Amino acid sequence: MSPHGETLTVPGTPTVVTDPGSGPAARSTSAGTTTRRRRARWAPYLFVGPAGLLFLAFSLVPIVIAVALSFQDTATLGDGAWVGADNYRTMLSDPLLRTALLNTLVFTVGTVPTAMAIGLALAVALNRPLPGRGLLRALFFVPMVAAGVVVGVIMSWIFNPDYGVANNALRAVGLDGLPWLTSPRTAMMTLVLVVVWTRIGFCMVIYLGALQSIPSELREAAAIDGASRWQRFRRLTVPMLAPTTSILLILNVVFSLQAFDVIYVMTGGGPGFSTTVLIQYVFRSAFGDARMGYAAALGLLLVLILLVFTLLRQRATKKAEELL
Amino acid sequence: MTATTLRPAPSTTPQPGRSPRARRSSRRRWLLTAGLTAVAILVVFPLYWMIVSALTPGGQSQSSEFYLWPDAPTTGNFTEVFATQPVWRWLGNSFLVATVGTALSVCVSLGAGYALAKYRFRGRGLLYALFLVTIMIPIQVTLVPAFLVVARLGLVDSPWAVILPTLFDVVGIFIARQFMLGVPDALIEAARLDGAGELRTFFRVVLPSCGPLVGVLVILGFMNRWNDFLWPLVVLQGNESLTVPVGLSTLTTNPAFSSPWGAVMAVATVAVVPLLVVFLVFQRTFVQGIASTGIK
Amino acid sequence: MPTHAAEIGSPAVRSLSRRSFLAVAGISVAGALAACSGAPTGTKHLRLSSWNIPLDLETYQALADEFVAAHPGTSVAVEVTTGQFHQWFITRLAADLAPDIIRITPQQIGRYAANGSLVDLTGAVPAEYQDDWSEPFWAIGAKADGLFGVFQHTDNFITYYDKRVIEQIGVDVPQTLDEAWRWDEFLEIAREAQRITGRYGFGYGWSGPETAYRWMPLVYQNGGAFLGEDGETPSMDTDAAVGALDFGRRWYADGLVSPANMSKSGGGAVGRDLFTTGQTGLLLDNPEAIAALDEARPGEWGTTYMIRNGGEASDLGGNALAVTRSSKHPELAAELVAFLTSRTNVAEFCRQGNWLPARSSLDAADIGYERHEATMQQFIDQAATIPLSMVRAQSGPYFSSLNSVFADYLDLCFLGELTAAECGAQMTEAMRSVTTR
Repeated sequence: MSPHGETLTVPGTPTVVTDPGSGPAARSTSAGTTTRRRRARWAPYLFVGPAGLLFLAFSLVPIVIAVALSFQDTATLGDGAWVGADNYRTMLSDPLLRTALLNTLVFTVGTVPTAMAIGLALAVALNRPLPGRGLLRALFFVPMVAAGVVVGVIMSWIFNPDYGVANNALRAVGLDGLPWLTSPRTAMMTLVLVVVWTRIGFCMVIYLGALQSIPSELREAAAIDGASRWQRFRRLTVPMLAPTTSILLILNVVFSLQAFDVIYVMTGGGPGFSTTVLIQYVFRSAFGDARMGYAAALGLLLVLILLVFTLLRQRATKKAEELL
Repeated sequence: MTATTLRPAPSTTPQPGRSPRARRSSRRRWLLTAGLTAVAILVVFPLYWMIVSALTPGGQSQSSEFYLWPDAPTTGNFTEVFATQPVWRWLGNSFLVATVGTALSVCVSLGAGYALAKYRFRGRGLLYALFLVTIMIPIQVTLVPAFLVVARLGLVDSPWAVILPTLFDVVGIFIARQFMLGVPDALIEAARLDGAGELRTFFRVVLPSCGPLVGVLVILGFMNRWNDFLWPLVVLQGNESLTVPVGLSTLTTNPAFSSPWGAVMAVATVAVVPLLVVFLVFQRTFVQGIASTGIK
Repeated sequence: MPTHAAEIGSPAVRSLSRRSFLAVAGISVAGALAACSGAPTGTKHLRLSSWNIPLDLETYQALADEFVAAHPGTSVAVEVTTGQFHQWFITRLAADLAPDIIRITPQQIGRYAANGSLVDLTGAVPAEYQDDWSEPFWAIGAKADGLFGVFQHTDNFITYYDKRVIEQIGVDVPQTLDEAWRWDEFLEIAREAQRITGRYGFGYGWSGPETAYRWMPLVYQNGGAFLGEDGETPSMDTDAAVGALDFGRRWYADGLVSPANMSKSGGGAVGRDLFTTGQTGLLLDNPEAIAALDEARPGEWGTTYMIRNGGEASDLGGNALAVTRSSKHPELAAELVAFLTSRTNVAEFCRQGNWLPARSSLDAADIGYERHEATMQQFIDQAATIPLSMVRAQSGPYFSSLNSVFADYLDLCFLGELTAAECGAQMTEAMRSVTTR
């Protein structure tokens, strides 16, 4: 992800430079090329110090302990026994893990592109001068203010097939109710729906921010050239948004892979195993089964998946840039 | 694109839609607005329903009839839960943790973002890469080790146990760095030529241009801290010292007893509404802030 | 927006950030000092953690105050346990910061009794206590290597019925445990009830995935067992267990129970909600339902004993009190546990919170319940049907994991994804992989 941060500013087109105040120094955004020589050596460490110390104490140390745990058997509390790569070997023959990985894939593929597409559509629509635009933007963002636990509680109430308002409404207009969370065939779909609901606001706001920084001259120029609205969207907006899309994609994948509260409250991984995703299984191993070592190994598998995804994504971006 | 991130002044950018072309298609605009409004109503409905359920007396809320407003709305669920649970304390704790945590973490993120964007120093790339990898690690795995650290520091059961470990906020640092990349080096260089020291340059020159960034960091940070659940759950103890989401969880998934749903909905409402108000007030700032942070 | 930016950039902000930095430093020092002086000198402080049930918290505190009055130089604080119990408790134990005394369910206690997280109370609890507990109830805390908890109060399942529905069906309600409805009888009545309500026949009192075990009595009612005689061997593949699974499967296949009313589905006490709104005619549930029914349908409901088949059994609800190894004053904590489980105090606790006593010598009249004394007596009588072997299984070291397995496969079977026989075989297999871990 790190070099990704670097690439974020790269694909900007030079034609966009509209700010008269930006001299040559501004264009070289890579850190401090012109100013390095006069700077005090201690300064960066002072600025990054607090973050670094906090990172060390509350992230790095716990992570190192977790990695160590993944090579231990801690079925009972207290001191674990070193078991080498046993926990990793167990994974290979764990049928529940296979189910969980598959469900994770379905859940991620179901939530991420959907939330991003809806977010983009809303952002494009609400970037136009519509009446009540400010209010509409706010309304779409509203779901994001609810904590995962609260969302889970509200949604399992709404989607109760017997007295939830969703089915009551369907029945009121003469339709059959849906089983929602109570059938293995619809439970995942319902969860995806709920999680997309929580995300569209975030995606919309980020896209909206990016859209607002596309200079209107560009679009107007394209309009004068006779490009249709769709062409302008396809040829101009989408490529300009590519870096945003790239960040949103990674953030959304991280969110989806770590979505715990909502699923835990709404289905507990059921019915059957139909919504048991990897993070659910990590929780179950760690605290339900008190197998900290195995849980740590599973958690690291999740990190590995994310890293591989990020690297692949980055290579794809690089390729695309070379093609352009 | 590089240049537009330099100056956080999106409000001065002419709005694309003011062109005559847009005015001509005003009917389509109204149609679009109507469509969007319908979707927006659907999107807001679950939270509306939460409030309605909290106002509905027991009985009707479990019936299979369709209604949009209870026959006899009551605040009974609220009065009951406020009488039996220290909900005000929960709200106060959430507020304390969220404000102090946000204020401090914004400072941390600004400093780190500045250093990572504007200095070249030994280990910078590695440090930033490590920072970014941390958001990929599920809290379920690091929960127990992180708690051991906090316990060793003697912080458990104090608000600092919630505040300190969450001060390091990767997304915040990321956003801050993105924004700082757009602050012109010339500006910094000029300050230095005037003889300003490192700190003075940061506070006098860099920080003043970071208004929108601070706005975004504050809103996102406050929201995340207000809603944080798993970490406060393990570090706080005593009904009086819980935050709202943790308080809610003592009422729901409890194997020995199930609380009445009216009470649960009332606490859920109490958890969401303050944040909702804050957000509705600041949403414009927020969107514009995001626009100028250069997350793109 | 621009004005906002200007404000942020003003000197006020600079001084603010400097001030806030100083404030942080100040608070940190204060925090560190507070941490050092945390325990007032000389006072032995105990923390007791209970579920967040307001009435119970009050009673615990009131009883603890009596204890403190009799033990100068001590203090007791009552705290609350959150829903994600294991997550909270394991983390706390790991840092040696668990509460001194924990209110814990029989299904949760086994792991902690087995792995040294709880303190042996033998000797601290008067020897004659054991005589007033039934063998199954004492077995919850009493393990081979010590006494790791004292069962304080219990609850179980009986049958609630809608008076109007039962009148319309025209069936007599059982008056004794022996007369309790057999499975076939019950299904017939449930079908009639479903015809009358137009929705479902009955509901079952689960409230979330952790409570899957509440269905386990059905296995024992059919003469089966969750774990074999040795208390270790998974035995859900016996004919009796499979027969029970098949019975449960029919509840859903015949539409007698709502598919939303299953252990893993969220949304609180679904079975109870369906009953209070007249969508079912019968409800198998614990005493907690009483308050909800009194509020929603006062006077319109009655109770009888839990259903049975060849054998009888009911749910093992309730809580034990245990002392954790984090306690700095384990003797004092053990003394408090003994105090809270004295005959007088158990009676007081049960009267206040509408719980059933774990002590055998207390009946409904002794306790003096404010309401529904007859129903409470039915619950107390029903408690005698909880089988020892089920208690041993549920309070064993692996039960938390086994309960998840039970929930998973019960779900699959009731949904119709597995036949009863397949479910029995696969569940047993999955259980074996837990017990041989």
